[in-house]
Amino acid sequence: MVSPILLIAIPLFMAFSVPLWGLIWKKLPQYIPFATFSITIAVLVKLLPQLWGRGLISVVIAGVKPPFGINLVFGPFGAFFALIIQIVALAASIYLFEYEPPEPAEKFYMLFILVVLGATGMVLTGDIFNMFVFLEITSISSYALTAIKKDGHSAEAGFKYLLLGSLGSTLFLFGIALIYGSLGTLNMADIGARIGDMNPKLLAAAVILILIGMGVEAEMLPLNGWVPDAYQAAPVPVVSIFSGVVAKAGIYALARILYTIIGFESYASLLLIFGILTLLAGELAALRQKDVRRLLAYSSIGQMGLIMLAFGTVGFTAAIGGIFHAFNHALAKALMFFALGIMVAGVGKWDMDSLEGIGRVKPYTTLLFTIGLLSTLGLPMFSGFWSKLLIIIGMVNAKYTVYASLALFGSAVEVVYFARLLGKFYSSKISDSLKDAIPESKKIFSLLGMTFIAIFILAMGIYPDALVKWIAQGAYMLLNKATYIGMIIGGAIQ
Amino acid sequence: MIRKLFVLFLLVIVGFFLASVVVSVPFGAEKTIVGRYYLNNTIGETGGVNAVTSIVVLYRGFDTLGEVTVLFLAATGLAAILANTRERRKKHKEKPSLIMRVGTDYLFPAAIVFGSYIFLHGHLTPGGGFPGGVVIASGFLMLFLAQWHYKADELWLKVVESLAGMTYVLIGLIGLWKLGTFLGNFLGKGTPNMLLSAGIIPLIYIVIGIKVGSEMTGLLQNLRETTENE
Repeated sequence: MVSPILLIAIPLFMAFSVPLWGLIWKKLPQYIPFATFSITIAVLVKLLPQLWGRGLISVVIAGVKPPFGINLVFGPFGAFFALIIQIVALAASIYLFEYEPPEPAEKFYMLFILVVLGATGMVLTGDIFNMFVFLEITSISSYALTAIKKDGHSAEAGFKYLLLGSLGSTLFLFGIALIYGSLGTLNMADIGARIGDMNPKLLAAAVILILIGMGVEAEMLPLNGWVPDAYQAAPVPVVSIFSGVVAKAGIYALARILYTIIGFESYASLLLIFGILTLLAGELAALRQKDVRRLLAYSSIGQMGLIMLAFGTVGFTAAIGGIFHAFNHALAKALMFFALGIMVAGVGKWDMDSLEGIGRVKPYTTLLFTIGLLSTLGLPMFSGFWSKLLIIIGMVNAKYTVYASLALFGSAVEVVYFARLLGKFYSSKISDSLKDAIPESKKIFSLLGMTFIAIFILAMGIYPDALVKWIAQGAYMLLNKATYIGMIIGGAIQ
Repeated sequence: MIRKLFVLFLLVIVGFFLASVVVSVPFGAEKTIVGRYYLNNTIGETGGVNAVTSIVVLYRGFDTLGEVTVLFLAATGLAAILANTRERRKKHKEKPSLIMRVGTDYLFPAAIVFGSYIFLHGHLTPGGGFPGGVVIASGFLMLFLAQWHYKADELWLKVVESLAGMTYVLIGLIGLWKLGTFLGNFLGKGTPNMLLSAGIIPLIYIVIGIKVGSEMTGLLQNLRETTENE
C-alpha cells in the first residue's frame, strides 16, 4: 500500500541502517542516499496522480484522528515542495557517488539522509508541534553537516548556525505554546478554524515568535547571518541541500502557517517588508564578494527574499510565481554548486580571481554553471524567467508597485555581479592557479546528473505550462484556507 | 558598556512585552479539548493505564519517533564532529579507589536491571524508554569513571543502535500493513494493569530503551575519549 507516510518512514529506516550496510562493504553507504531517494521519488510519482480532483489526502497516524492524533497532509502545495526536496536530494546523492566524503563517512551519509527527511516531514505534516519536531531534525543535522569538515572555519560556521538555529527553534516552540495554551489543540487545520477565538494581542506575539523561528531556516534578513559562512564551510553536496531543501522547507512552513493557520490578511505586510529587505540586503552584499561560494550564498538570500515577497503579496499569480520560483531556484542553485565543486577540483581555491579563465579550461562544466546562473538571473528562455515574471505581475496586479520596482532593482544588481562573474570565468586571460588544472573532469555520473538538470531548466524555459498547471493547484489550495480546513476537519469529526 | 546597556534595555522591553501577553494565556485551564479527551479515553482506547505513556507512544507516537531521531542525530552529530579531533592532553588525575572499583562491579548489573525495569513497565508506572535508557547508560558511565581501562565495544553499540531504530520503524510499518495506519496498535489491548497489555506500547518502549541506552553510552564514550590521554 503506497501511502505518503512512506516518504518519511523509508528514509528514516535507511538512515538507521547505514552502519549495517557499512559492515557488508565499506563503500556501500555511499550509495544508500541514492537508493533511498530513488524509492521516495518512485513513491511520489505513484502518489501525485491521485491528487488530481481529490484536493488533498489526509493520512492519519496511529489510527487516531486529528486533532487528537497527528496527521500528514498530502496536498498539492506540500506535495510540490516534497517533490522539489526529493529531486534536489536525488541529484545531490548522484553527486555523492564521486565525492570524497568528509570523515567519518558513515555518519556523513546518515546526517545527509536525515536532513532531507526532516525537511520532507516539515512540508507534509498537518500538526504544528510535529512540524517543530521535524524542524529540529532538519536543523540539528544541518549544524553537524556544517561543522563536519573540522577545520577552524567550519567549526565557527557550525557554531554560528547552531546559536541562531537553536534560538530560532526555541522561539518557534514558544509561539506554539502560546497557541496551544489558548486554543488547546495542535492540529493546524483545527487551529485555523478556531483562530478567531484567540486574544489578538496573544496571536500577534505568537506570529512574531513563529516568524522569527522559521526565519532562520528561510534565510530571512536579520536572522541569516549563518548563511554565507555555512555555504562557504559545508561540503558542496550539503550546500545544495541547504539552498534547495532546508531553505525551501522554511519558506513552506512560513507560508503554510501564515496562510492556513493565521488567515493572513493583517500580517501580509510583515512578509512583504522582511522579503524586500532580505532581497535588497542579499543582492547588495553579493556585489562585494570575492569568494564564489559566498557570492552564491548572498544571491540565495536574495532569491529567498523574492519568494517571501511573492507569498506576502497574497494573490493567485504571485503565489504560483513564488512556488515556481522556489522550484527554479532550488534546481539552479544546486546545479551551480555542483558545477562549481567540479570546477574547483584540482584548483582548491574558490575566489573569482583564481578561477579566471576557467571557461577555457573546463568548458562543459562552466557551461552547466552558466545555465544555472542565467536561470537564477531570470533570462528569457530559462525557467527562472517565468517565475520571476509571474511574481512581478502578481505584485503589480495587487498594486504593490513600489515593492515590484524595488524587486526589479534587486534583479538589476544581480545582473551586475553575475555578469562580472561570467566575465571572469570566460576571460581570455587564464589565471596562474589554473595552469596545471585537469582539463575536464571524468566524474561521469555527476556530469550526467547535472546535464539532466540543465536540460530540464531549458525545457521548462520553453514550455513552463507543464509545471505551472500543477503549481496552480498548489497555489489554489494555499490561498483557500477554508477548503484545507474543511477537508481535514470534515473528515475528522463525524 | 553602552552596548551592554542597550542590550539590557532591549531585553527588558522584550521581556515586558512577552510577560504582559503571556499572563492572559489560560494555561492549565480545563479548556484543552485534546487533554480532556486523552484522560477520558486512554484506558478504553489503548489499554495502557499510564496516560502520559499512551500519549507519548500512541496518540502522538509520530512525534516520539521524531524525538528518537533527534536524540540519534545529536549523538551522531557529536560523534561526527569529535571524530579525529581527539586531543592528547596530559591531565593529572587521581586513580579511582578500590572501594569505587569494587562498588561499581556490583552496581553496574543493578543499574542495567533497574533501567530495563523502567522501560518494561513504561505503560504501567511513571517512566518509559527514555529514562530507562538513560539509567542504563549511567551504569556504563560508572564503569567509565571507576574502571579506566573499560571500553564499550563500539561495533556492538553501533549495531544495536541501528537495529533498534530500524525495529521502531518496522513496528510502525507493520501497523501500516495490518491496520492501514502507520504506528497503528496492531496487538491486543490486553487487561489493563497487566505487564502484557497496551498492545505495542511496551514493544516500542523496549526498542526506545535499548536505543537510548546504546546511544547515550556511545555518546559518553565519545566525550570521554576527547579529553583522556590514553
